[in-house]
Amino acid sequence: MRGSGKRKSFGISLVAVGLFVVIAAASIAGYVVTKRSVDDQNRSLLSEDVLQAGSVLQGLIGNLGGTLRSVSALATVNASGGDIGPNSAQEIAKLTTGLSVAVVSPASGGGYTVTYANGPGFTTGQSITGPVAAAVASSTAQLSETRIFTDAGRPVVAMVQGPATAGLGAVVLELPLVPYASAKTGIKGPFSDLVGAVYATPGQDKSQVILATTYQVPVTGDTASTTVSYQNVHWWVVARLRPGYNAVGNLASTTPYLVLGLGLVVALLVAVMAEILIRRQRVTAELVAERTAELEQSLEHLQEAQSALVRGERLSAIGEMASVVGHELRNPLTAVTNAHFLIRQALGDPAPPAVDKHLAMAERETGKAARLAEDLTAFVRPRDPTFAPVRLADLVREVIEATPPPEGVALRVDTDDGVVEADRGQLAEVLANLVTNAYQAMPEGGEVQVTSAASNGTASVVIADTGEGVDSQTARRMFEPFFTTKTNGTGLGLAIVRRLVEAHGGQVTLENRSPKGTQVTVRLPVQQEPVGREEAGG
Amino acid sequence: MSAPATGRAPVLVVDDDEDIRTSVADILAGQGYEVRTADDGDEALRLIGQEPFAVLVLDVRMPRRDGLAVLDALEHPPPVVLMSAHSLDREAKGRLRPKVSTFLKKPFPPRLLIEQIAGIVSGAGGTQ
Repeated sequence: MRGSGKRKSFGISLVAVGLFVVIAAASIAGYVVTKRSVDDQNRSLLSEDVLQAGSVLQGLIGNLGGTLRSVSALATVNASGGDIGPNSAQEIAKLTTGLSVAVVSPASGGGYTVTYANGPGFTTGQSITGPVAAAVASSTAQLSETRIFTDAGRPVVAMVQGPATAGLGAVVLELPLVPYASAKTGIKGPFSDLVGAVYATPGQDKSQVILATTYQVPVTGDTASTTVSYQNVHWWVVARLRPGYNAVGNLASTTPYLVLGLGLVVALLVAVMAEILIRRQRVTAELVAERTAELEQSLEHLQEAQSALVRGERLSAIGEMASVVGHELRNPLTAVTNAHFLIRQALGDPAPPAVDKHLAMAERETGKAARLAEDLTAFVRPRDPTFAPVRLADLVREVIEATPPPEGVALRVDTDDGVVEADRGQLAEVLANLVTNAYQAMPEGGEVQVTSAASNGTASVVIADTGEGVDSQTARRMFEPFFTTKTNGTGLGLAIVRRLVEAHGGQVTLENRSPKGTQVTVRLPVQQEPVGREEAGG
Repeated sequence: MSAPATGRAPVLVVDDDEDIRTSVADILAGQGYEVRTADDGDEALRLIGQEPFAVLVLDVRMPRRDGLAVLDALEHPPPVVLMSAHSLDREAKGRLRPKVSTFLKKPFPPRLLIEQIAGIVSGAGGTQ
């Protein structure tokens, strides 16, 4: 058994798979939790950034508002007859360097006229119309604004510091816009991590973009927003984090993936180790089982050998006894047989019926005793077979002719043209014995089938009946000497059959058939090995 | 019953078992043969030395000198019917064949003995 190399190939064990799944699941859970935490942190940092941007914008608007208020005050203080004095104009020009600012007053014919202008957006005397005029009309002391509109093909937003009453000018500031100026270059500085837009109205209205750092407006995704309010000016800032930028830092943002990756690696390692341990254990267990089986087999062989020895010794003792009994019976049987003959001679033929009956019984019983003596001798001293080619089909036919089936028993013969080297007389004795047994196994009738076939150096003759069959214990003992199931049997028939078959280098087996009956199989080598001869007694 | 065979040499029956010896002698006597008996090989040889016998009915196993020893001692024995309680193998039979007309295995039907001896006496010889 050892080294046969016939190891089973195992699949991966459930334990290893289970361990992997559990640890992998834990890693995935860890990944989800840390990822969520990182995302939350990112989001809160984004909100903070957006709020900061909002407050910067608010400061900017506040500055503009302050400037406009100052301009308004200067214009009001120095206004005389709707005109701004040269000092005020100088002050205003200083305050509004780089800006397009106008002081407007109600015109005599309705509407508004520019009474003072600075910057490229306005000229003195210009009539104010459109969204600016509307804004001026509704202006108050609070800074207000227009929606973004187009002036000379460019988007602008106007801021108004009112009110524009007779003699008092409202101040209008026009801010030309280049909304997507930084979309290409991006913005530098504290908000470079943001991608977003500033709108002149709350809500993502594409026509109201004041400033955008991306062409992809509206800004979508994981965004944060805030409303920037200064008096009646309301801007709205919306932004998300620039792709690839981590507000929380690279290490923190990599943590979920590290957790996942390391977790999976650990899961794999643990599973592999578990698998190795389990396999080692299995192999050990298998080896132990194999050794145990070998031991059991050895023990079985030992027991078989022992029982064979015991059987052999028993047979030998039986043989001794049978020999003595067999031979010692022969002399008295001869004398008794002779006596019967002499009695019959003395009584004359026919003998008186009263005596004849008893004499016949004595002769019958003497005959039985003679057969027993014959069987005992045959069992103890098997004759050496004299081998010659025997055609099984012919032999079976001869045996059947000599021992025809009794009434009620059908016989089926199926033979091929196999030839064996055998002692014809002994083989005939074997077959006659087995066929007779088969007949006797079916007192109520049935079918006996005799089959012979030869192939691959072995010939077999099978004698099968449809009798009651035998139990397994009986089947095992059938070939033992003196074991019989018949009332008149000597129990030596099958023992002699086995002796003869074994003297031919063959074997004989008996087994039950399905659904009922027994079958005896005689297997013989087609060719005989030369065998030693037993010395015969005289 | 057969007619008595007169004017013939007697039959010698040799067996150590008295019952067999006398019963065989009686059977043969009943057939009209003159019968002598001996209970062992030595006695048989002594009788054979004294007179001729038509047939020698000889047991194999006997104390002192057994049947085979008797055959060995006789160069030209009379026709022999060899009775044996033991089987003789082919080899032994082959060796004895020149001196033995008939092998009879005990117990045998008395008719067979009678037929064999009748055959020998009439010159037809015994069957194997």
